Amino acid sequence: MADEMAKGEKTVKIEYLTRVEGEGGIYVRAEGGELRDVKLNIFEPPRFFEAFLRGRHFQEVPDITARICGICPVAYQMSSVHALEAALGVRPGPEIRMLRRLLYCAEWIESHALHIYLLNAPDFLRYESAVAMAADHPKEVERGLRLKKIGNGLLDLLGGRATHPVSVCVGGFYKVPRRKELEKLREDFLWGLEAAQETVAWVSSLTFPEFAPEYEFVSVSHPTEYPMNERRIISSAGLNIDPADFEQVFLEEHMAHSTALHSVRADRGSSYFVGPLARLNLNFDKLLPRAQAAARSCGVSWPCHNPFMSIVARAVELVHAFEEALGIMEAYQEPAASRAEIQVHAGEGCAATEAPRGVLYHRYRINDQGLVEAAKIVPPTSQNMRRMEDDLRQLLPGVLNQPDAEIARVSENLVRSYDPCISCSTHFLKLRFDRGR
Amino acid sequence: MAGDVTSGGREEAAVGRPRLMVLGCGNPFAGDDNVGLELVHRLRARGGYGCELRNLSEGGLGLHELFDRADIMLFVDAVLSGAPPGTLHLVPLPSGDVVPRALGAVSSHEWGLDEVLRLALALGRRVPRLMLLGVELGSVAQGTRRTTPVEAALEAAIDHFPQVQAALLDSESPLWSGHHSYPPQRSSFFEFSEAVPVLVRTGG
Repeated sequence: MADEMAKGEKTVKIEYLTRVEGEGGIYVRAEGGELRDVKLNIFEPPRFFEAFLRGRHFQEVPDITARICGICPVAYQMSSVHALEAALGVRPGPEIRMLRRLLYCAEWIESHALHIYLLNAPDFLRYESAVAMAADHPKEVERGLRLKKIGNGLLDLLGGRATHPVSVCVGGFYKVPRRKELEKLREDFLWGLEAAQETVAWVSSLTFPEFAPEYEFVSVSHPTEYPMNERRIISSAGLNIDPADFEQVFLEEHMAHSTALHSVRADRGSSYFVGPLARLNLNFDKLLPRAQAAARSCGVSWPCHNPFMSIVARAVELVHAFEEALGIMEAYQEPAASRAEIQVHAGEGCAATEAPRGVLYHRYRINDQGLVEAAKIVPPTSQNMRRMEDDLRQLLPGVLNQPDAEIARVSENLVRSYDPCISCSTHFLKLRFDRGR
Repeated sequence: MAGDVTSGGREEAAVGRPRLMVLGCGNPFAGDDNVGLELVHRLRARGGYGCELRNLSEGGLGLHELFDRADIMLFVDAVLSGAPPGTLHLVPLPSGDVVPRALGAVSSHEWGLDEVLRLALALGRRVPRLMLLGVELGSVAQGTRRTTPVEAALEAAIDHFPQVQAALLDSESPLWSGHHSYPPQRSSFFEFSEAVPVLVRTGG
C-alpha cells in the first residue's frame, strides 16, 4: 500500500458523513505519500435565514431562528432575544434570566446526551452505529436515552414543546412554568445528576487517539457563571472582547467547496476552536462543585487539547447542566410578569451565547417600527469548519499508509468529535480520498 | 417529547382495551401535507374515541419515548405513491411499500422509523403495532388549501374512523396482513366503510 502510494496520487472520499446533523462529505487527496488537499464539502443547500428575517417584526425573530435547528433551537432563540434586547435597551429581570439559563440547561442535556451516547461513543467502541452498540451496551444506551428524555421533558415544559419551542420572546417568555410543575421534575433531575457523573466515568474510560494540536480556544465568559447567555468573549490567546467587537475580530470567508462559511481570526486568518472543550478549558473554575469534582477525578488533565476528548468535556457539562438546573428549580419563584415591557425604537444590537456546539453570534438592526433591516448569524459549526480541516491536515499524514476504510474512520471520528451541525452552518459526511491510482 | 401533546379522550379509554395512539404528521402550511394534523384535530373535536391524540412534531429518536404509551400507533400522513390523489392507504409499518413523509430514513441525525425500530429491538423494548393511514396527496404548495379529493378522503376517514379503530384493535384483522388501498371514487369510500367491518368479521 505504501509503495503504491509513493508512486502517485491517492484520493479518499467520504461521500456522506453519518451521525452528524446535516449533509456533507470529506475529500482527501495524497500524492507520493504526501497529503495534498483536505476539504470538508458542505453540500446542504444554503438556507438564507439572514435574508428572509429582513422585514419581519422583531418579535417574530425567535420563532423563525428556532427553525434553524431541531437540536439546538434554544440557542438560536437565546442569541436572537439577547441581541434584540440589546438593540431595544430591554433588561429582563433576574427571574427571567434564570429561567433562560434553565432552558439552556435543558437543551445542553438533550443535545449532549444524544451526541455522547448515540452519535460519538460508537466511534470509540468501534461500532458502525448506536443500534449496533446497543446490543452490547444496552445499559449505557438506555442511560443515554433517559438522559435525553429528561432534557426534552424540561424543554417541553419551559418551551411549550420540545422541538422548536414557542414560549420564548424578546423581553422574556409568553408563559412561565408554575413552581409545582418544576417540582415534579426534581426526582428525574436527581437521577440525571447521578447518571451524568456515571457518564463522565464511562467516557473517560474510552481509548482516545494521541492528538493534541495547538489551538486558540474561544468561548463566552461571565465573571461568576459557567458561560451560557452572557457576557464577553474570551480566548486562550488572551482575547477579551465585548460581543459588539465580534465582527472586527472574527471574519467569515466564502469557500468554493462549501455552502457553509468558514470563520477565521480577522487579523491573522487562523482557525479557532469553539464548543464544550473550549468552554471547559477557559471556564473550569466556573463549573459547579459536582461538575468540577467529576472533571478533576476523571483522569483528564485540563486544559485538554485533544479534540477527541470533547466527549469528556461534553459529559462534564452534562453534570453541570443537571446541577445548575436543580439549583434553579429549587430557588424558582414565579415572576410577577413573564416579560419586560418594550418601547419600540430603531436600534442595533448583538449577542453571543453558548449553543451546545459553541459560540453563537447574532446581530440585528431594526427600524422605528420594530422591523428587521439587517441580520447576521454566525453559528458555531461554521466557526469550527476551518479548524476541523486544519485538524485533518495534522492528523491524516500519520494514517495515510492505512487502508481507505481506516482513513475514513479516523476522519469521521475526528469530525464527529466536534458535533458539527451542518444544517445550522449552511449548514456532513462523505469522504473522498484521492490516492492518485 | 416526540409529539406535541394534543391528547384527547385517553382517560375515556376502556380499561383493558389496547391503547390506540393517533399521530398526525405533516406541515400545517403546505396544502395536502397537513391532512394528518387536520384528522387529529377533527378527531379531537369528536371526543377522541378514547384514543391518545398527538401531532408528531419530531420523527426519529423522540418516537422511542412514545412506545410505552401505546399498544397500537396509527400514523396519519400524506403519502406520494403514484396512486390518484385522495386514495386512502392502510399499511402496517414498517413497510417497503409506503413510507410516511414524516418518518423517512433521512431525519435529523438519520433516525428514521427503521433505525428507531432496530434500536428498540436491540434494547429488547416492547414495540407497539404500527399502522399508517396514508392519504395520497395532490398538492403541497405552500399556503394553499387542501385539494378537493384529499378533503373528501379526510372526511371519509373521519366518518369511518370507528370502523378503522375497531379493525386496528383486533390483532387478527386482515388489515394487519398487508397494504390496503381505497381509491377515491364514491363507491370506494362506501366500500371503505363497509369493508373494514367485513374484514374484522373475516379476521375474527
